Amino acid sequence: MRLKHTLLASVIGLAASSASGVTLEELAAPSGGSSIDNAFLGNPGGSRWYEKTAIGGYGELHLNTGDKDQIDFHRWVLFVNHRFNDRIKLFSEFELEHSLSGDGKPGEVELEQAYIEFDLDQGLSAKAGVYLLPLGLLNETHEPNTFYGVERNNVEKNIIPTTWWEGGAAVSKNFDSGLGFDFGVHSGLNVPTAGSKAFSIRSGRQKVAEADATNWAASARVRYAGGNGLSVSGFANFQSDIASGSAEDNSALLLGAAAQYNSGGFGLRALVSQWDIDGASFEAADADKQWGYFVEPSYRWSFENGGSVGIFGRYSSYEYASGTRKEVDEYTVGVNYWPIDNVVLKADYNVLKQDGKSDNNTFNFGVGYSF
Amino acid sequence: MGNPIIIPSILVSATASKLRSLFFVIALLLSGGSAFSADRVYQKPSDFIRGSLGEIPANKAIVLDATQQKTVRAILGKRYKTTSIRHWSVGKKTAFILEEIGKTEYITTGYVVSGGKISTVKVLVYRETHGWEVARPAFTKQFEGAQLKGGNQLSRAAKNIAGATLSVRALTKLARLALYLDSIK
Repeated sequence: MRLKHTLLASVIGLAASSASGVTLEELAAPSGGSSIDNAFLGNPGGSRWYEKTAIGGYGELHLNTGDKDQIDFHRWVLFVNHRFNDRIKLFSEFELEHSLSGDGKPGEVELEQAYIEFDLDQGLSAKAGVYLLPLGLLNETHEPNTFYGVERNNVEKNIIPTTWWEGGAAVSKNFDSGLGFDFGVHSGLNVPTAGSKAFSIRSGRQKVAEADATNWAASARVRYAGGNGLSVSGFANFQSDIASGSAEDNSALLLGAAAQYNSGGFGLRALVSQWDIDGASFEAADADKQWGYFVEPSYRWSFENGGSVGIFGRYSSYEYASGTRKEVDEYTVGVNYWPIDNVVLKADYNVLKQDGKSDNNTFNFGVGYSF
Repeated sequence: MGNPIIIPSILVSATASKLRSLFFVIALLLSGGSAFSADRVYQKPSDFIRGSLGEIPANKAIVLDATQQKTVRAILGKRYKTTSIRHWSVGKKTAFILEEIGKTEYITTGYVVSGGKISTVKVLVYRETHGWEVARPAFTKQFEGAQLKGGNQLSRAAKNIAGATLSVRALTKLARLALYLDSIK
């Protein structure tokens, strides 16, 4: 019905607009309440299967210059989502990292998300499948045009570790007050305890690829978004045994908090998180507490043509294990230019100071998009 | 680790019991699924018009000509989903119900424009998984009083919300579109 009305109105409208150039009475469409509701409730995209399927994606090319000059199409991502009905939806994310995958090649082909979401009631939803854990600022939302800096920040990368997905089930409840809760039970990390990546949290991601499921894990988050531009969250992840390869018990807990504030062009992002890991092997390797934080002020100017420019600075401090313990301070300044909201050009200068090593200074350039 | 952690032991027991209760809750809710509403419908579109204008007047439609479509494309960064856009007017007030995709799903939003300024914004149906915070009155009231300045930009910008960036952008674009449509109706 709606299609017919729209077509008829369009035909009449085109005729009228060619005469008057502006408007017409849409006599063909009744204006009763049910007609209006029918037009806007349900799926606005249409009811055919291809109208219920949406694709999206993002990508980013990086040029890093400094100790090592390197150009890399870091991520090419495709979303394929499908709405089975108003209540049950599929979300999936397919990613090619570093352009080329295969034996001896630098990249990987990854399935980062593939879950079914069930909308249960106003604000309550459940999902099952492979999903991104609700931890930190970037883990769930990391399209390149939504954050400052060419590379994602190293605190979330090495501590949380972003991007982190697992297989399992989760529920979310959001309240109109701005409060939201997430809780999920899912597969866990399997951190190596030997080799060059020993005790590296990031290297423990099994990526739901024939992953060891002996031990389970759980994630929880509480968040609040005020109407004044301030958003805060506290998050936790519990691992019943973070290193199932070792004989001892290595239960572990990640605790963290994140905040974002925006007022006019000014923005501030901050995050702190820490892992606390049981077990003599982690303690002996000085890897039982791995932590980090960063603070990132920014300012963004918007132009009348729809473009905008933002500058930022970021101070990061973190300590993590990867073979040995690394103690790092980072200073980053840079600029993002958005010709349109979906496309971003980036440049930044990064100084990485690691104990026992000379400073690593890099200029980074990037181009990214999402749709 | 030197000090025993209390929270993990709580979580261990919570995880074991919650795993069972989680699946129980999900199964219970799904078994009565048809009784539950689906997308987050904050207000029926018809109720929004009636509540904003005091009645549901006969609707009119703006049919965008080529020049106007070009302006709409500049505002949204793409075409609007239709070239014929309905609106409802009583006195100086005009109500629009507009739809734009946040990340992958349409957000249905009601706007009332009066005297070239936005007087009301209300998210009517929210379908995205993330970004529901834009439906809060504390967020939408930021648009009240906004008008168009040069380049069809808003005279005042809504503050971003972490994790809801795309939804914030969608509502901001639709606010600009509502003001533009009001100027050509």
